[in-house]
Amino acid sequence: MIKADLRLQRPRGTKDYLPQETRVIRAIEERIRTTFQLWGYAEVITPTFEHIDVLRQGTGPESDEVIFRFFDREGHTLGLRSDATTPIARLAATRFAESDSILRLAYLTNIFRYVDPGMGREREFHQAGVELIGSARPEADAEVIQLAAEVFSALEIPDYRLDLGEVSFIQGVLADSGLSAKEQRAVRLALLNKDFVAFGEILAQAAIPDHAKQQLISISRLRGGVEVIAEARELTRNKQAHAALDRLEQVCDLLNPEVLRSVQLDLAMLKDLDYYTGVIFEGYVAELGYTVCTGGRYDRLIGRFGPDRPATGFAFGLERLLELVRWPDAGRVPVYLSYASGLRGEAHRLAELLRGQQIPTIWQLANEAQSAALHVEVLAPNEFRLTDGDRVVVFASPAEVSAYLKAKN
Amino acid sequence: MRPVTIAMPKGRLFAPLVELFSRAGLFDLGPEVDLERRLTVKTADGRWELLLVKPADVPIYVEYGAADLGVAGKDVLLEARRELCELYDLGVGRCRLIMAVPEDSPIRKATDLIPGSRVATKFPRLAQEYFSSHGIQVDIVKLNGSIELAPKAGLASAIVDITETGRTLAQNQLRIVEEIMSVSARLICNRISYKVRYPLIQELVRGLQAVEVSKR
Repeated sequence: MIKADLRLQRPRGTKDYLPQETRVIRAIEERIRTTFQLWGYAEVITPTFEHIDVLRQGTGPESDEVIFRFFDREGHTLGLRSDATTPIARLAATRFAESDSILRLAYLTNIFRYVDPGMGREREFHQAGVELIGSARPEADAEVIQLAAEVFSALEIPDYRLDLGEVSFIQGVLADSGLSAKEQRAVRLALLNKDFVAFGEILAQAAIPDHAKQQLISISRLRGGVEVIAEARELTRNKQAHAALDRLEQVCDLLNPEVLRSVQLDLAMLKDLDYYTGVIFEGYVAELGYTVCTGGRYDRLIGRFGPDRPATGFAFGLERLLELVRWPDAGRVPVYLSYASGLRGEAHRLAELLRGQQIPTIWQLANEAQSAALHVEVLAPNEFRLTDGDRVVVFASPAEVSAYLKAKN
Repeated sequence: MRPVTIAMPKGRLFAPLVELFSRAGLFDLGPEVDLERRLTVKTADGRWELLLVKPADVPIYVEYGAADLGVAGKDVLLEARRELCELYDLGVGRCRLIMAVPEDSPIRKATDLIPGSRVATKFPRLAQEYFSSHGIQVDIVKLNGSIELAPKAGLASAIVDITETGRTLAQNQLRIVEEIMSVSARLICNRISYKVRYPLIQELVRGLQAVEVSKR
């Protein structure tokens, strides 16, 4: 068999970013980083690989096949970071073990998952997110939801929407439903997969009264504005479910009116990571077929590494944002610089001045084509010939050159 | 708002689906249009746009959000295993996924297969799952059509395929030995469209339920 030349190929699910795309992704990162800083979230960097046991706390034993794993020379199994929250939970539990104050941490990082590429999924991708650790208050949930909304605004994505749910609502409802543990698991899986046919089939076969089935069907359709909280209260008497609704209502009350306008409640929403414990949310845009932001409360994840600490947070997928960002990021127009013999000193002083003014200045090499849009040649100590397309201007001083180029940018 | 796009499977299911949807009050295609060569059809009121695609491609259009909704057989959905919402069992296109062998074969059930036997199918994932879950070791051969030919030509000792009446199998001297699952056409939806077009989707499911009730 003739083998493909692997020297020429990237591994499946990875990507090269060329200058144009890299510039946009870095610009997105910069806006997000600034937003996080303005809200008091400090960026941290965790290792690219961790002990497999750390990462498994986040994936759960059933989905740990997504972890890229390898051995070190002592025989430990290591894994590439498969989510950002789990390493930060480890860090919070071990490096800040003594502190019981609030931690506001942020990250912008790459993530590795052994998944089938496609549909916005890559094996290496990038996430930006925050973790707010140490508060179980609804104010903390509201803060991170507001911040997620702020990220959309900072990226000039006006038509974003946020779906809010509460994982313990369904848990409570199901606990009182009369369904067996196995049926409850099946119902949760059906709702997670949004498979309403399977949901109906499980109920049809379950040995519970018809009115209880009707109730569960109505609950699975609780989606809309804040009014669905009142509807939900009518449909269940379970204490855990009511507590979940109270929390969700408190969080909604704390959101700014303009953020609340983008919010929809989906009480049947569940998440595929098993560490979520409370209010959860997803951010999306109608034009893109998949979510761009996901987050929520995880009060027991840090406890897997040390003392329990309540926490909430979210992550944005940067590749997915790249598909949504519409603002032009042209970057600055560079100028090419050359000089007549003996004028190296003058050219250096001009380059220093221009770079000081944030104008990218490139030393034109002998074999570098003359097609550049902007070009300056130092002809004499007080003679600078600037070519701008078809236009040629001669300036008498570096200051004049710099003034012209600044106006250009 | 832009029209709701729905990916429809070309072929035998198309006509019954259009009839079902028009009875549920969703859309009417109006006077007969020559659908064979069309790729898209807009309804007269401009609310709906139909994309006519190969059945196995429906889940792809829907998962990527190129279509808000779609209709696909449960077999196709299980084989494709994509992230979608499954909204409703339309009840049309009912058929069975079966294992069949030549009439003169000594095989009476799946466990009679000699380890390493070749099994031809259009559904390699479903077939593999079925045999693995029964501890049967076989070689799955993926074909794209005319599965019935494989045993005749000596390519495989059994097939896993979809059948409605079993007539084609009988015509080809094949005998059903295992019923793997029964399947039917499902209304599926993109996960974001489910959120964005929620009221309309609820209306649609209610319309379909009403048709089903009226049939009883």
